[in-house]
Amino acid sequence: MKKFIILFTLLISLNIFAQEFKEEKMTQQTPPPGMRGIVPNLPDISVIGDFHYKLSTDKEDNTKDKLVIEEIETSFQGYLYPDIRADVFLAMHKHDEHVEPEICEAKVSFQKLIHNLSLEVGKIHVNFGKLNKIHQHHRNFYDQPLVLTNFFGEHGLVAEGVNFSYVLPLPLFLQIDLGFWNIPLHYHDEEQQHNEFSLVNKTYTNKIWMSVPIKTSELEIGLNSLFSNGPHYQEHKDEVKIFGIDLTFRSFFTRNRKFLFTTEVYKLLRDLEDSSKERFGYFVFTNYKFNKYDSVGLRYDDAEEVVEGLRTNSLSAIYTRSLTETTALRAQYTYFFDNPKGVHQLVFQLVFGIGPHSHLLE
Amino acid sequence: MKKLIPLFICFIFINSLYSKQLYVVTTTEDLKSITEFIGKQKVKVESLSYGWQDPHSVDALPSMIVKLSKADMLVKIGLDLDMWVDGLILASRNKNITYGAVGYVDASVGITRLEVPTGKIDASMGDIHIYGNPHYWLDPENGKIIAKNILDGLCRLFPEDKEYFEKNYKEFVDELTKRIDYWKQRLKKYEGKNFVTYHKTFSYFAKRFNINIVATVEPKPGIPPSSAYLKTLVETIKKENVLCILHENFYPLKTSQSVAKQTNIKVVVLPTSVGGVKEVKDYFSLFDYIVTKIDEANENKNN
Repeated sequence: MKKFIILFTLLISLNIFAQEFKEEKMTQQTPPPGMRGIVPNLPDISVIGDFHYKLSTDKEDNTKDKLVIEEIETSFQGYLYPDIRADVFLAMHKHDEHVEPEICEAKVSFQKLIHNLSLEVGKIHVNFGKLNKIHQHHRNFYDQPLVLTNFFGEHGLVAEGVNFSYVLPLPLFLQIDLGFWNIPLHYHDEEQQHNEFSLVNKTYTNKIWMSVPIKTSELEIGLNSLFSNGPHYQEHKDEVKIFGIDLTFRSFFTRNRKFLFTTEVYKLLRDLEDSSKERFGYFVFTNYKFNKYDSVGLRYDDAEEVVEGLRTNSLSAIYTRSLTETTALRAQYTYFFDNPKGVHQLVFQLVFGIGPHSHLLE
Repeated sequence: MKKLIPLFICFIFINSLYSKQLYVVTTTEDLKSITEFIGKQKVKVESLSYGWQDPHSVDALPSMIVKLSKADMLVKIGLDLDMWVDGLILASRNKNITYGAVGYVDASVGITRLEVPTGKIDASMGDIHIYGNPHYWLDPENGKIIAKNILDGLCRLFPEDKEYFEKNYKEFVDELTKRIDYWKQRLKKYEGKNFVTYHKTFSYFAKRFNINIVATVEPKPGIPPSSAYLKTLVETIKKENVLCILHENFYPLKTSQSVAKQTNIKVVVLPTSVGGVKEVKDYFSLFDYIVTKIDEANENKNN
């Protein structure tokens, strides 16, 4: 009987929290991101999760056949001063068998210095190419395109420094970005250091980004260049230059239908003391969202690796089901033509968001 | 030379007219339409989204930054419907239109919101808006509050033309009052009758015209229906003697059609915004179109 009384009390108390809706007069303007915490002085706090399960014919892949928590990211966003905003993204990443904490991004944005000039300071996903600025969990595929991994490292181009951004007062959108960075050497173990490439020390980036609206479509073009030191600068004085172009075409139709085409092409020049090396890579991605919930995409990757003569290319087919604005299920099939050769891979991904986590224009 | 002088004067005159124009950017075409009624030739208005787009999920595009960077005034729906514009405002670096600035107009101020959650909310309830149902412009009485917010914004920016804007506002409100009476008359026969909608878009419309929305095709906002849910929906439609399904024209039509077929009722595909279909060119014709389509679909069923 006592058990029943406890259960009954519990049920009653649960009912107290049942959701109800009411009518209420709106007496103030709807607060924008950064001013949304219910307690007035709290920043916006969110959590993002990225889980996947991989099936693969690659016998050497030790990440297959198990559920992998790829990343848990927390974000804190708010204003420090009128027109000065702080965004901090802390993540727990999976690196092989280990989970490591990392400052994914931590930046202060001065939204308007003079005229159309703005400034970002901190650790930042550099505005270089189209995808690099977008966090992995916001992208249309589960993995990073090979060219970004092979040319910029496992996390893409993330650097500590400052970025000036200026929108020219023209009838068309034309933005110029200039970045001055310091990139710490980022390897998780010694083996990785020998096999992977990374940019280090002082790095300069610039991007000219323009956009042309065409009826209900929009074409974006980005011209990118980067000057940096290679991973063995101390021993070999290797200097790196990367030049790239990114193109994005988006078209919108009735009934929530949307077409996207995007490509990024890069050339890397690495000057050593007595020789020079060149690498080339690109990806092409096309996606069609055919209703509010579903989209299908195709991506082709081709990128030369740091080890001379080694090249990776693959073709991926992607299906995404959006459950809500912040949560999606994805299935991605990839066939690797080379390195690893003839490998079939199927990945199921769940990306979810809790809270008002949002990024600026992507 | 003599011919050139009148041409030059004409050019100066036209130029002076245009230079006095306020440039207003709105997030939706409904707000654009109302702003044009109040501002007439003293404003140039552009909408960032199209009326046929789902206003919840509009892609933020660089070209929108250019529009916002030049804007004297921004009018937004608020209540978290057009959150996609918030990042664009920052990217535009235009201090005139930031939150709280003189050129920032949130059209929802003063609206009596429906379906405001009173307890803790999360995604288990679907895409719930924490400030309540944001589709308030579909109550034409709310069009008057939207117009008042826009009027206040225009007067803040252009106080010397206050009388002009107030005159236009009064004309708009008078015309809207007349039309509301007309729409009420046309929909009187449906008062107390039951309808189903795909999403909770028509809650404000239903309240104004005293029609009942007994269920939605979505089990919860933003969540597509399961077959089990559709089974109960079919039963509800039969039990509640539902007249028709009001289907917002940017949602997938197939499910609504399937339910309608099983229950032998009609699906009325409706725009929810100006520009949603080509016949709907302004805020008045939006309601003309909705009222006409509901009436046409139920001509022989209203008794």
